[in-house]
Amino acid sequence: MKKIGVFVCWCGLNISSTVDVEKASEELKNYPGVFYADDYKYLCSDPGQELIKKTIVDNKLEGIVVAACSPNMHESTFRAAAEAAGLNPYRVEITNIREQASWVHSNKEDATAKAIQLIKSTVEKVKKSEDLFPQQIPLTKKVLVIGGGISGMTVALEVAEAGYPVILVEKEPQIGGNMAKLSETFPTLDCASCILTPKTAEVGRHSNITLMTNSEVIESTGYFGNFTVKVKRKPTFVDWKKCIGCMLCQEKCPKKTNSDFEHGMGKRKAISVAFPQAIPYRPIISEKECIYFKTGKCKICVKVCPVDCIEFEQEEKIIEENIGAIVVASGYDLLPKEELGEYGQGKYADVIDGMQFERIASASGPTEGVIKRPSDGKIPKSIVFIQCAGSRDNQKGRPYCSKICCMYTAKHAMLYKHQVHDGEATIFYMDIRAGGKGYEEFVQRAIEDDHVLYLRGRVARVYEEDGRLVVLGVDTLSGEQVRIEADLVVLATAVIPSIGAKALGQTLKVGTDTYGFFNEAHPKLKPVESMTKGVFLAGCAQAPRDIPETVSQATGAAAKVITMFSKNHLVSDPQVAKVNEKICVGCLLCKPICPYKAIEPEIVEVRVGCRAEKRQVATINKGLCQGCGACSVACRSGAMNLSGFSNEQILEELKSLCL
Amino acid sequence: MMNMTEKMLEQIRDLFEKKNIKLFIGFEKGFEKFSRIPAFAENYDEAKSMIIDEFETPLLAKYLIRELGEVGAGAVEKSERVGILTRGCDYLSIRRLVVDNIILRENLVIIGIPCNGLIDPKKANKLLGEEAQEITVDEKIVLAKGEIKSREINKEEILLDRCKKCIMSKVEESDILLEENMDDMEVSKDYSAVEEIEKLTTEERYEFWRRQFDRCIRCFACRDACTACNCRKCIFDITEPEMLEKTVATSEQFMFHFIRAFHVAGRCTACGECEKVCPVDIPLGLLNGKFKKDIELLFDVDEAGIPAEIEPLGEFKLDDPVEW
Repeated sequence: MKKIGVFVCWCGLNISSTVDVEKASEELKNYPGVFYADDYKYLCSDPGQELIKKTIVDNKLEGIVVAACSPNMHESTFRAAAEAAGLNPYRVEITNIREQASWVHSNKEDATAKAIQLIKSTVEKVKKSEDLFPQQIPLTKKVLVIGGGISGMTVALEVAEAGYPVILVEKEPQIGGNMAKLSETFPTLDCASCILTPKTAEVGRHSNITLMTNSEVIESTGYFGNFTVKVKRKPTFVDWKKCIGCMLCQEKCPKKTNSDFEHGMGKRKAISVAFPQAIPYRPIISEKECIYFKTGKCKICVKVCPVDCIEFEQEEKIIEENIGAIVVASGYDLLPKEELGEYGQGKYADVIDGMQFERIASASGPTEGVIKRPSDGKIPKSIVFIQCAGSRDNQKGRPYCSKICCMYTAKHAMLYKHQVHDGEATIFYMDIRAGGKGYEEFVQRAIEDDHVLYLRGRVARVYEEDGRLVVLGVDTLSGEQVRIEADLVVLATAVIPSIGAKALGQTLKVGTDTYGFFNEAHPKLKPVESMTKGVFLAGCAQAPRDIPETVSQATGAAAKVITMFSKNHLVSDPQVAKVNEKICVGCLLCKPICPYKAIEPEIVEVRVGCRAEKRQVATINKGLCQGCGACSVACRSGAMNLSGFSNEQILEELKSLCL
Repeated sequence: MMNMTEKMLEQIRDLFEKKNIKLFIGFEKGFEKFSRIPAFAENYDEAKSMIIDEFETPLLAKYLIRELGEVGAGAVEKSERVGILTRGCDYLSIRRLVVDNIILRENLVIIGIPCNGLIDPKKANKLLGEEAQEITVDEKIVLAKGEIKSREINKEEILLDRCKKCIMSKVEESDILLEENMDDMEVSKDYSAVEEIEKLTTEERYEFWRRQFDRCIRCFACRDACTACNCRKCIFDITEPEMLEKTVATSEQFMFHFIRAFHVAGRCTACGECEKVCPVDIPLGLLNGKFKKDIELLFDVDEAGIPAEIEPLGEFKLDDPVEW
């Protein structure tokens, strides 16, 4: 029988007020296998850890149980203490008698009995514990950043500055993302491109950053530290290396079409660059609109190009890259207006969304910053802003708060009032959420200095009557129905994950929530890590957020990558699955079940009596395996076992609890 | 039917002569009247006793595990292959073994025969009122003769229970087809027996199953007969950790039957062999049927148990509706 030590923590009054810790340690002293048992006020404190170390050495303990808080909190603390005392850290197990006993019960007697029972079952588990040793995993010190918006660029710049190579993949032809479309930014009203373009320029020229715009990640294999990704580089039909960016082609191109960058507010040519400060400043031909692609004639761009860089025969290329870490910064889109029936389902030209308003308010936008309505180009005398258009609305399937709309709507109203002094700006809101440095002051400024009318209530309908838009809503503070005739209606439509985020998640094997936002590993303590090791999250890909918050989170993600790259090799958690080749029948039922694709078949030679036999068995890639245990549950014969949570250990725990 | 037997023997002779198989597995007459037992032939002479008729037969697929060896060894020489007589239900079981990577399909020579249901002599005896001495089958009418009585019976009435629920009457991938496949049998899903049990209260249901499981002598015949039970070493034969204690206690009886049912859940082809071999008549088909019904309902599959590369209970999906 192993010599096991049991330490019961008081956690001040957290545990001791509801669990009789002294009784627990006394009772455990007499439990078979327990050589030493004691209780202590704060085991996580320095003297507490010293006690554990000294006891292990003095009594030559072969395993210990620490009954304290959740293993999420201090398992690593106690394992490190045991390791310092010469005990394999995986012979330390935690019994959670705080979250699972003292905090959830009020009856001291019952809570004590439960705690004792839980500790006993952990003792049984430790009896079956084995020494486990981490493995070294090689590491490619190169990061892939998906998304070239403000979050992706921040990550790229931080990691590149730390001296590691970065591949920045962006699906649009230029970087800058949604921020490049914004007019001015709250709460300081400085112009978005003025603060963004220094960043895009730096990304463009940084020697450690390889920019892949007009590209998409289509495949990812491997595991943390050792991913292999395939990037699809879509054709631009222009040789960007030869191109000098004179834009003669754009000037002379005869085909005009709606610009995606302008969100339908402006036009562009079939060969074009999205905006004047675009990085890279190189044109791209849109295959859908180009006259040559449709009819085989035209080629005006070819004629005017001074360096002969138009390549109609360009094809897409697939590039394979080995990388060590991935940062997902795929950003956001807005809920299409077409999904909002009560606001006209997108059939009225003068009902626009927030991003469209940004474009008409932007100095580099189609109206050169003059706020004109799209239908007839008149300057609106009355604008109604509707907040929470789709957000906080269970019926639209978006019960969450989009977080940025309160602020940008206040900004929109303010920008409008600064231009049209006698205009009327009305905002329908549910609550004003202005938590942030200088945010509340900003909203107050809109109300007090710029006389924006805030009406608390929801809008029931927006419709057209005699050529004018009518907004029918309710002011819940006065209890009265409100009917406003408006020249322009601006909807603060819900922030949704960028289109294709869910597919990207499946490519990278990173989970997304019901709405398609990427799941973080822990909502509080691991906000930039995904559930898949080596894949980090930044910006609106994870949840709606504004620019300052995005930049902070992106910097955090970059720090995580840099920390990972600061080591010469990675250490894998030894608590992963292992196969008993003697029992494994090679049915591979475990293979489709593994969320991390860590299981592959292998032919091994086994001696049966006096002859060798070739057998198919399952093998585990220890780098890919995350120790989730799905395979060991699926394995009928029990050949698949999770180290540290073996079938033997769990069975012993259960026996102790149930019998 | 003699016709079919002759056709089969011809094919077997051909297979042995051309050195295409080392062994053929089929059926021959058993000791009891109308019983059919597995027969193994290593040459044509040994195969001469084999027959094909319409009486209940045991499932042959499981013998393939013993005869074919490891999939890791790869495909064997042509002359080392094994031939097997196969009906639709046998074919499902063979597919189960292939999908589970227990045997390689290319090491098999399948002689397929069409089937529109096998008859249960016990049912005939019951209807006749005495032990039948002679049973002749003619299309849909069966003539049963005893020592005293003789009676014409509709074949439908004396079909095996499992044939009434047959989900595969054709052999899809046979190497040799003795006769063209007939039309599909008309089968309606019948979960009435399962639904009867579902109607019981929890206590009544527990009492029902306790009565059934307490009879179990743990002979493991249900496991040994099952093609879905194809582990190298069964979990119940492993001593460390001991999943099943040797004590005969209700808890252990339940443990055995639950684990067995869970291990074949979604993989059971509903061949009914487990229930047939049980010496104490535990209605295992009822338990397997409940799983089948629930899987079809909860996982939105038409027919649970048809072996496929990815099984309803054996897949990880990123868009799994339940977070974990």
